[in-house]
Amino acid sequence: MQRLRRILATLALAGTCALLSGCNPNVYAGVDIGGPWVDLGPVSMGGSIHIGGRL
Amino acid sequence: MTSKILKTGAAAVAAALIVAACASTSIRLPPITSMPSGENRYGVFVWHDLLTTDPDAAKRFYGGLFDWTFEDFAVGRGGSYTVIYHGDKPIGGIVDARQFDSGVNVSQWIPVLSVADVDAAVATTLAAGGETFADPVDIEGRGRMAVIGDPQGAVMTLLRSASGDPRYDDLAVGGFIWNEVWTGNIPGALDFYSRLADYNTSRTSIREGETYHYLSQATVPVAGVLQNPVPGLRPSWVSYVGVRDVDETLARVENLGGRIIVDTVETAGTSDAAAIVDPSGAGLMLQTWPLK
Repeated sequence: MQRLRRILATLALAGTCALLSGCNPNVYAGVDIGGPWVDLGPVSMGGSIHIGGRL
Repeated sequence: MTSKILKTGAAAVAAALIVAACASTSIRLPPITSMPSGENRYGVFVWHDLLTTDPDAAKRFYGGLFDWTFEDFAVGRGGSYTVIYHGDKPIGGIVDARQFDSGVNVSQWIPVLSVADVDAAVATTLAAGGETFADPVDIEGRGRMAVIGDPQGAVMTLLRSASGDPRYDDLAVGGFIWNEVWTGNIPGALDFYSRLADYNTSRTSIREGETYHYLSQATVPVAGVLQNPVPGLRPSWVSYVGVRDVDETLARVENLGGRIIVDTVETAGTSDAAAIVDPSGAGLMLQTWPLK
């Protein structure tokens, strides 16, 4: 019974933490989309397409 | 009565303990300036964070390519964050994305825009059809932050820095020299970012039939907007690092574990540029600096 209470207390603490702003996870933890370049292979620009940059 | 007071007191103590425990496990991040700058440069990209599934490989890659150096920080809750230095100047951070367990490789560079009011900028984003990956939150040491996707899906971070923003510095080889959003909807992007950071917009012809769009503060360009030129790439912010010689830098990319996505392309007669990815798949642009 005492062990169960300890587990419940731990779960309550974790749940409360999740609700409090002071316990936020890493700010990037919510980025759940793949990196845009991850699966790209070589791209031929054919010398005719501008790819930007500081002008 | 006494019993009720004791119970109430016990509940208050328990609540205080929970809050204290949470506070002690909160996330903190190092500031973006070595010393408080006392200066804010709203509307300017002031930092760049790299999400990577392989921080050690990233350090070897960028250290070998740009001579960057690194300093690890414990940030709480068992996490770590690495500050990137160009010379003695902090310019960005490395986030170990393995801790997120999101099931996808999220490796990417995310530019950080200084804004006066993070909450207002997020409200503008949501009203325009964008999204938040992290709602506004105060991060000890760093400031108030949020991570957003613009209405086309390009990801960026908003920050009101607790230490102020880095003072203007001459752009240098090995530093970030430019940021650009690659989008399939130029009018939409110009409209959104004008409202997000009060930019003016302007354009210049770069060659016959092609136009380059600027996001500017008064008449000073801050960032670019470009029709997405790379097939298969979703709308994204891309960041440029200045190098003396693009070809020479590219020659070292693969030995350091990276890949070349777009080989050297001349940019409007002023420089060369190329696109690379690091060992974990985060993309970055190289551009000749100074311009010809």
